[in-house]
Amino acid sequence: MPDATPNTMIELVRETVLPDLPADFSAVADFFEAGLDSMGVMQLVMYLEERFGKKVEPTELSRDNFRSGNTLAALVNGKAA
Amino acid sequence: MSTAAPAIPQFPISGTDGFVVALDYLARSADGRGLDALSEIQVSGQPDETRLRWLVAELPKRMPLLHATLRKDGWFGVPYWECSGDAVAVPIEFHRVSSVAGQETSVIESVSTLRRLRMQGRERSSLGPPHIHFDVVRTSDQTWSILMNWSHLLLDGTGVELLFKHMNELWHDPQAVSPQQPVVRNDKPWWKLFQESESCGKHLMNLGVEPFVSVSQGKVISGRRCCLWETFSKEETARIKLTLGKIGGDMMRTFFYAGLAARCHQAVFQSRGHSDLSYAVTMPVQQRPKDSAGRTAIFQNHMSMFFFILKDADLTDLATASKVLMKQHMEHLKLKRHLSFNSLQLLTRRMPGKTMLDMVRLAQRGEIASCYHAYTGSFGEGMTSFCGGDILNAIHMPTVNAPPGSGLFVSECQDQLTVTVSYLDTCLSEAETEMMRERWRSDLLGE
Repeated sequence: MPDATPNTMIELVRETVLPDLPADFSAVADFFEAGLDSMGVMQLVMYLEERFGKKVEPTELSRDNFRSGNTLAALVNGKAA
Repeated sequence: MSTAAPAIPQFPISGTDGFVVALDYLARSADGRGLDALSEIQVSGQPDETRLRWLVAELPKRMPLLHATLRKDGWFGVPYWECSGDAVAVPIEFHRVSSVAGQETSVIESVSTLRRLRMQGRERSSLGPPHIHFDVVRTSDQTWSILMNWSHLLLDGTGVELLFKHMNELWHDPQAVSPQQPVVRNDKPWWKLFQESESCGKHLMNLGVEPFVSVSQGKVISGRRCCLWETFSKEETARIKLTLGKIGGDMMRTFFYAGLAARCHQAVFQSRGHSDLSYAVTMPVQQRPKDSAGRTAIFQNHMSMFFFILKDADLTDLATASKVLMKQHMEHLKLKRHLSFNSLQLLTRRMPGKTMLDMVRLAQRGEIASCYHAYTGSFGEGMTSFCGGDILNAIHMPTVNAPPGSGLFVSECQDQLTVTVSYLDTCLSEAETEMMRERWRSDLLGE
């Protein structure tokens, strides 16, 4: 399994749901402002399980957890707020 | 200066439009009235009749689809828009309720009376303009409402919100540029679309194996179009969010409300003495294209659709139903059924509506789904004002055809949640819709 760092999370989002994410998208920048929607979030849930072995629980399915590279990495590493 | 769009003689329908055309045909075959709906914004202050009249005259100059006619080609009956009509103003009528003094010549007893009337839609022998119609009602000395009657052939609920939003933009800036309607193109050959449609097609055929039910029992029925809706106060809505937060995070809302739609229908069937039934619930997901300047398309229907089957045991409570829906949704995504459905839509948009519907209903024992359902989220992406006043509330009142004969819809505005059940009075009784209301209050508020 690859490491779940903010950068790998941004790369995952770019590769799977937001191909037009800018190259300089920062770890704190907001995915939702960049166009992430509920459909995209559900696709990410699938990819997080496939690639990082992270099974997202219903209670973890919040906007806050999917907001940025930082928050996504924290979710995968079990350190979500 | 208006930014008039050049007239396009022919404009193709979108993939989703193909299915909506079929449903509109179904509605008209029952009683001559199309698949129309009603949306309302309640506003503070007083309406400015002169500026509103300017606005409804300006819109068609900028948006050729507003005065287009839906036609079918002579060979296969494939629908398309013909944008050749005159850019005449969108009809608008001004009223006041009888308790308010004023100049309006049209005096109505209440907004509810007008809503009931407008919900019935109009008989249509042609599919030409007007596709939308406005009513402005002064409801008190400090409040007014604008009602938009709209045809689903031209736009969907999200499109309605975008149109209201753009009207408000023009109100503040008459020079604002209007979104241009992007053409939904298809560069794939039919056989490729056919291949890609297989996954979704198989899934839809499998749905037919489940004995799912609707309140119309698969029959094409006419009836009076009715609507019961409840807007929860800000305090109640906050309570609902707390209740739902115990089940899952805020990105689970689509599943909560789809589960709620199924559970409300289950309450009706249980009261009719049925148990161990299955419910087919649809969940539309918006896929709106943008124009070359990045502005979101207002017109046409743009949705992918997910189809879920819930059994009685999946509907013991809202938490169970939501989790089952999420599980099924993950399976849909893994099998890329949403992409397959998009291909299916593009393939079937070149099919006459009746043929398409006959195929669907043949596979589903006459049914289409157990109910219609949509969660449209925050009204107008959080817009707070409309044409000079603050928005107090906004509601969609879709009408439904039979089958399925009913639908449950959820929306939000200004931190107030609204749940709406639309139905034909030949399919659901008032007592049964009250039963649904009890179920949603119990599920959402824990009452």
